[in-house]
Amino acid sequence: MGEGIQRLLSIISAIASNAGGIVLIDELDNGLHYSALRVLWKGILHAALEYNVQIIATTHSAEALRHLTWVLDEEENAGYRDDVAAYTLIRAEDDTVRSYRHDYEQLEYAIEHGIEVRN
Amino acid sequence: MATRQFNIYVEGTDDHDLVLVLVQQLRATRPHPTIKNTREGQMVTTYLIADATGDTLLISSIGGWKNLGSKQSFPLRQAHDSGGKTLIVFDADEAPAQRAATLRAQIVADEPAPALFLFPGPDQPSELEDLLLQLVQPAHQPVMLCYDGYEHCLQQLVDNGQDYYNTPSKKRRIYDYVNVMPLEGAEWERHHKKGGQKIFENANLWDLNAQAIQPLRDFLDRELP
Repeated sequence: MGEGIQRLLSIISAIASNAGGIVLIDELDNGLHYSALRVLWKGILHAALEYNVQIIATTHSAEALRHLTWVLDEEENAGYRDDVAAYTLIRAEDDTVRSYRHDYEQLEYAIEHGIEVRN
Repeated sequence: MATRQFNIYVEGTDDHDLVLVLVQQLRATRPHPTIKNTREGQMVTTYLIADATGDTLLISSIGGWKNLGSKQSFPLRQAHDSGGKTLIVFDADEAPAQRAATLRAQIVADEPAPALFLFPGPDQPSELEDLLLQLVQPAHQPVMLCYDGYEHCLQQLVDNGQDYYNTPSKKRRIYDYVNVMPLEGAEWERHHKKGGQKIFENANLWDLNAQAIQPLRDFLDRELP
């Protein structure tokens, strides 16, 4: 079994065993080839809906975010668009952290226009 | 140390390319070390660092004035929160004051006080192309006379006693001006193979010190770090 499949299965298992709860995933694309990202996002979105789980995931990967918008672009996944948001966290000069929310449309716009959201 | 962000939003690729050249003439800048610039169709985004202050400069074309709004929420707020600024450099079209009010209203939730400049210049109706036609190097003005002749010729052609052919647009005239110029190497590629770029940094084609562009130069010089 490849590392990608193992990673996907471990995430889906965590979601299934925390029905009604929250699952935190750090650097969710770690160890994954970019070609597996679409499958990963679809799996996460479907499982989160199926088990009523809120997912909070971090990434520094532009590819991971790009693939998320591609998955949401697909008509069959349109129902997830209002359920997904990305947040950019920026450490300010006074050492506080500012957060900026991107809804689906804003995230797609930023990625299509080369706007950096991974500060 | 956190640095400030300055956004310059423009409508199209020509606007982006012209503003980029002016910014680089007015300020010492370098490419952003970690953010990649993009150019795909009407979507062009350039990130620079201002040498003197270390501030980030974002120049982004958004494909038309109606696209300005909540989609740019993040960079607008990022500039505002960091102590930077957002500059809007769009066409005035028919009514400069009305367009300025509309643009401000479109982003007031994220940036209550943007700096606005509307082409072709302060309080004038119309658009970028009217400014560009005033920047054609005087030595090449005869090309414009040829174009006048072409337009006149088209206007003589009729079909069943009625006008049939369209008069070429100002955008077309500017494209054709650059198209007939003897470009070489990378400049030739950028115009002929990469979306008809106008090569504004080429002083043989464009006089970026002409009086007509001084208000835009003054605006950028005043508003940028």
